Amino acid sequence: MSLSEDGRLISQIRQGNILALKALYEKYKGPVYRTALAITRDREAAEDILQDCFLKVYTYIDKLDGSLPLSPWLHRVTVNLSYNWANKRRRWLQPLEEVIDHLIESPRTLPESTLERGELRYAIQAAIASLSFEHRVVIVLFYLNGFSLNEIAYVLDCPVGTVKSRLHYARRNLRRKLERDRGLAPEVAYEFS
Amino acid sequence: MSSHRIQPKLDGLDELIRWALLDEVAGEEPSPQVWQSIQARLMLRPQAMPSQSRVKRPWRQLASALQTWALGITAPLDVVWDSRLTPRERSYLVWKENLLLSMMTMAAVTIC
Repeated sequence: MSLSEDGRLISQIRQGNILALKALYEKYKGPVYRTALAITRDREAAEDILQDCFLKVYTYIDKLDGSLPLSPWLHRVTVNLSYNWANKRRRWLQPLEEVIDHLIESPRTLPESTLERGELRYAIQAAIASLSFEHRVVIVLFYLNGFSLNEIAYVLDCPVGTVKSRLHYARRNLRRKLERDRGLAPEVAYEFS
Repeated sequence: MSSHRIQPKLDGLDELIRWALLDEVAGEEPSPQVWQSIQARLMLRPQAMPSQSRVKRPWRQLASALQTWALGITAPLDVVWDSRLTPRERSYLVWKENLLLSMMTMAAVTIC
C-alpha cells in the first residue's frame, strides 16, 4: 500500500467510510501496538492505546494531511497515550522492581562464556524497562521503529537536539547498567550474541 | 519534517538494544476484539461521522457560551437554595431550568 493509498483511505474516512478506517487499521495496527507494548510492557494497556489511537484517527481525520506519511502522526498519538497511561497508572516502579529482583536472584557477575542468550536478552530488556519514560520512548522509537532523529523530534514535538541528548543519555545509562549490574561489557556481549 | 536523516554513531550496544527490543515484541499482535471495540464505539457516537460534522455553528456556540455564563452566575444561588429548600421543594420549583430557558429565548429574539 503506497502513501497515496493512505491519502485515498483518509479521504474515504472523511466521508464516514468505516471500511476505509479498517483498512488503515489493518495496515498500522502491528507497528502501533508493538510500540505501545514496548513502552508500556502491558498487553492490555497496549490494546487500549491502539484502540484510542484509531478513534483519534477518526475524530481528527480532517486535520490529517493525506500527502504526508501517517506513521509519525500515529506514533505521536501512541506516545502521548502511553504517557497518559504511565502517569495514570504509575507503573514504572514495577519494571524497576523486576530488575532489582532479577539482580538479587542472579550472581553479580558471570563469566561471559556461561551467559545464555536468554539471560542476556532479559538483562537488556530489564535495563531498558528501568529507564525513565522519556529515555525509554526515545529508545523504542529509534531502535524498534527505526525512526530518524528528525522523525522522533516530530513524534515527541521537541527539538532534534533534545532527542539527540535523550538518546545519548539513555544509551549511556544502558551501557552503565549492563556493565555495572551484569559485569558485561557491551562489546563482549555483542561478540557473544 | 525534514527528509534529511541525522544518525548518531552506532556501536555494538545499539545492535544489542535493537535485538532485545525486537525480541520482546516480535510476533505480538493485538487481539481481534480491538477492532470490534473500535467499531462498537464509533457506532455509539451520536453521529457516525468524523469531526467535521460536529463543528458548531455560530448561534450554537453563542447558546453554549450563554448557558455556561448563566450556570456560572446562578451557581451561588444554587448553594443558597440547596440549604433552604428540601429536594422535593426544589424539584417543584425547577427555577434554574426556567431561568435558563427564558434567558436563551431572550437571546434568540435579540439575535433575530
